[in-house]
Amino acid sequence: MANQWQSPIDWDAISGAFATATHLNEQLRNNLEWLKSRPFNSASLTTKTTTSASFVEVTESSIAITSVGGNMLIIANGKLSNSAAALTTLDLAIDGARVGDATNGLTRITNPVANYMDCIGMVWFTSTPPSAASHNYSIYWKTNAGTASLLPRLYVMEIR
Amino acid sequence: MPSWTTPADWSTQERVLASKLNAQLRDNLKWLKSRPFANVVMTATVNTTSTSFVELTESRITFTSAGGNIFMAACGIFSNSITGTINTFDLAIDGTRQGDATVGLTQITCPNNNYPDCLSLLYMTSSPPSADSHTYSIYWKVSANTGTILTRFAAIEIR
Repeated sequence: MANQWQSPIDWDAISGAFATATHLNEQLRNNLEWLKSRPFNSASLTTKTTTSASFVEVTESSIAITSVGGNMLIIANGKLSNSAAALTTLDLAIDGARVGDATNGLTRITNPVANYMDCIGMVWFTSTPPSAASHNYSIYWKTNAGTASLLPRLYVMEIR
Repeated sequence: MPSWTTPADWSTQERVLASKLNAQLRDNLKWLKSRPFANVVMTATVNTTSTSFVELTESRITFTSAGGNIFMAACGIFSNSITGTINTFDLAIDGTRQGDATVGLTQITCPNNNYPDCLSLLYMTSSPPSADSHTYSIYWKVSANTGTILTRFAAIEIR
């Protein structure tokens, strides 16, 4: 990843003096590199299954990013099916705390017949950014019947 | 958050003033770090029976942008009370829908009564809105019966 973000300084604070190479490296080089290559991580999983009727983390879906306190863009997409006619509920989570509705998560898919495949797409912007630290981002899910199967990708980036 | 200032052309032997560095460097870096953004989280479902496009007023968000492209994203759950209905969704800027005149940005057919399905809408403006305050929202319609939605919606000036 690029250099750490440096909080932009007030140049009046060095009034009467020259900007040094240290200033320019921190304020220009490092910050431009950070803006060009913001904190990002992704995961491309093999097919996962669950029979859980309560929310559980999708196995191996947890990815970590060290952010500097900005808003995060989290995207998950992929395909979902179920061995039975069932309702599957999906959500995204930060450090294990789901961001969607307590019952309905971020989105739901009804499989009208067994092994019916459907497209999932979840996009989430944090309203309250996580603190400037390392955090884990993951997918959660549950199903009301049968065995749900998911082939997902997960992408996380500090967007602002 | 500071406003975006158009990057200046620097002159040979120009005296670099702190005020100019603050506008050109400090404030523009802060703007790039924390771009204009707004979002809404619906906490209760909303219904419609409209067969022509109407605004989902609960999705309305407003922010001032600097003339750049806007990335809009909606993610949620949709169902209709009756099977076989076709339900249509679009995104709008200041009430002007961005998708197809008839089919919007996407459509969902409900194969069963009250079938919940994944609603995902993404859109990037090709012609950015002017540098000004604009309102962004979801529009929707149903072919029959009652559509129900629970969604999140966000927009950000992306470039």
